[in-house]
Amino acid sequence: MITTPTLLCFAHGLEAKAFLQNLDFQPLGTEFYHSTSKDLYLSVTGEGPLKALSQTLQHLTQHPRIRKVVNMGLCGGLSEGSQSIGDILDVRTIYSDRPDDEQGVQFHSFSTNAESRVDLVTAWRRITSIEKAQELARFAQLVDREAWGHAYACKQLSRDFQCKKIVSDFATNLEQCFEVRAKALEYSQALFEHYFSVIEPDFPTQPPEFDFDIKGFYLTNQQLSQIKKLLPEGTKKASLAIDTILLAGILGSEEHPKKRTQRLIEALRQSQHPLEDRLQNQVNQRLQPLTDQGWTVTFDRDLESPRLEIKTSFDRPEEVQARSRALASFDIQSWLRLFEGELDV
Amino acid sequence: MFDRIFIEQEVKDLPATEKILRTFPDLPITEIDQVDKVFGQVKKPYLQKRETLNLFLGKKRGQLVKEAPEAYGAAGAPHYYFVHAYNCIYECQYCYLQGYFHSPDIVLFLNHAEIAEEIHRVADQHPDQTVWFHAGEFSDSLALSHLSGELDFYFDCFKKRPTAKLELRTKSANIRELLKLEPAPNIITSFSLSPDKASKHFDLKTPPLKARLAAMKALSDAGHPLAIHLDPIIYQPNFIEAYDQMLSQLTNQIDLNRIQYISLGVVRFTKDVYREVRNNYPQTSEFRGNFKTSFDGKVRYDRPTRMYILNQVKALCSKYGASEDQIYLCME
Ligand code: SF4
Repeated sequence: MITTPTLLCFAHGLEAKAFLQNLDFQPLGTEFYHSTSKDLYLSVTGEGPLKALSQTLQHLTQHPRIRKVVNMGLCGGLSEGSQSIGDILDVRTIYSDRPDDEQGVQFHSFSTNAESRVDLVTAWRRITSIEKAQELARFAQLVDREAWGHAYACKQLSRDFQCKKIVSDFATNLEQCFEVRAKALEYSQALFEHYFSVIEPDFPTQPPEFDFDIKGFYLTNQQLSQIKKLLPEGTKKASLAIDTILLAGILGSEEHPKKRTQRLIEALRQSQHPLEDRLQNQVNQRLQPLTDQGWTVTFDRDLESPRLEIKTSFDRPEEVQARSRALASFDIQSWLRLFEGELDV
Repeated sequence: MFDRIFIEQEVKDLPATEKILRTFPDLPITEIDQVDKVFGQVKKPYLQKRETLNLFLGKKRGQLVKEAPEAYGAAGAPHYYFVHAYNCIYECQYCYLQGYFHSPDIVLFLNHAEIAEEIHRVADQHPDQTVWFHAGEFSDSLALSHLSGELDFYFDCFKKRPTAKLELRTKSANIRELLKLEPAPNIITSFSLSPDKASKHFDLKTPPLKARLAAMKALSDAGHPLAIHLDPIIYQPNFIEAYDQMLSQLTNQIDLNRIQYISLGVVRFTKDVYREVRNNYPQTSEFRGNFKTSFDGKVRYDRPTRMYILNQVKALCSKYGASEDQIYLCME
């Protein structure tokens, strides 16, 4: 089975303990491990968004095969009542407070694909006042010290990102934090069990690359990418996305596979943008009297302005006459009417 | 509908605020100094509006009435818009709000008296002209009107100013509050319509065409002046038949002669909005392909295509009885 090489990030060794104890992790560097059996990487980044950011960037650049990062660990709740201690929550959007002592939260946020309704704000300093907790509670339900750094690194390097947090205390109850350390191992075990029962129950296979598995076509790489663009975004299998009637028509022809591919691209383009095609024909048709007689015609490719520039060169008097005649009889009104929407000729 | 309510201290004791809070007795409330200090301070993903929305109640500050962009309404008259809300409960795929604010949360401004004062001041600057004021530039004018409760206020304001006109632009069928009010000839409710299939495809969460047409009929029967926006028209291969059918459904209910004006416009985006639209709705093939940056920097179809579409729909309107002076082209 092909697995998605994944990096698990924790802030503290205690949070990662159950993973390190239960799997075959071998050290690759300082606080950085790899499990061959599960193809999982694990990093203990240290506390704070800067450490999270720099460690994740470093691991992802040194190991470009890692496609996904999962940040797990403890977090604080910002409003008692909506979460309970011990809840494991999927985070939807991650905000960050401002590193300078200014009020409010940084503008940039990062979203995961989680379907949850729980948001988190990453604090640059430990929360030491109820007022600070209340200020952050305007933006999110949870607070941690790292997730934003991990998410930022993943965004920069286009990696999937997931964030799973276990609520260990409430930032509005500053006395609880002493109990957290005592329970850290228990939380680590809960995250471990959650990971293998919910997040990766049977190790997802790597998403298949776009698959063009229709016999009878010959595709260059460029044509393959053209076809990908013409199919709905996210399409994985061309055979399912291309209209079977269209396909049958093209495959039934006697043409060479290369020519068929060209026809397929044309047909796909036409089916998506039929008006565009009609317009192109109209443009060609209206300029044809000039181009047929050897005039080079330049016009606004965006078709916003009807301005035409024409030029020619000639060697013989007959050419001068033929081109003059073509120019004199050129139907400029018809060209202008195209810009008033006359496409029905 | 909402997760939490944020209230500016300055508006917390207003009757309008109290009324809104009575509607949501169980929602957590947070008092804030100013809406701007929280709303839009962070980039909240637009599509989160599908799951959670916060409601902000506050006071509109800064310029309360603004000049509308050129070609906004019928030519020859000054056009202004005023803002009494930000954002919308609907989710039209082309909506420019998705690139405009940094948050989809709903903001209701409650300082209507100040806004009305400014409307009078602006109208006074045009003593010899009919001045148009448009509501709903950053929201739908009726969708939340049962909650925001400002309609009677603006009706009073414009009844005192018969030479100025108010346009309430909507895609909703929420006419309960409007029907309670005495119609005024200078207050026009304009409905944005698109064919049923297109509406289901692009105008997510909006009432179906049938409901909008029924709402129009009820308002028309009650004597409220109406207008129509066939805008944005999005090219689909069968658009002519689709608009034909829609106009037929419309004219079965309402005589087009009773419609004050019909505006036609083809889909267009600012560059930022276009980027957001492509990001938020990558599967919508209608927003790929034939879009160009045009004369004013907006992203739209090329000119021949736009004019072709507008001519076709205009011809259909004429076929169903609209006169030449009733129709104007929006933003063209
Ligand atoms: S109704 Fe108007 S404001 Fe609301 S989502 Fe649709 S386009 Fe946007």
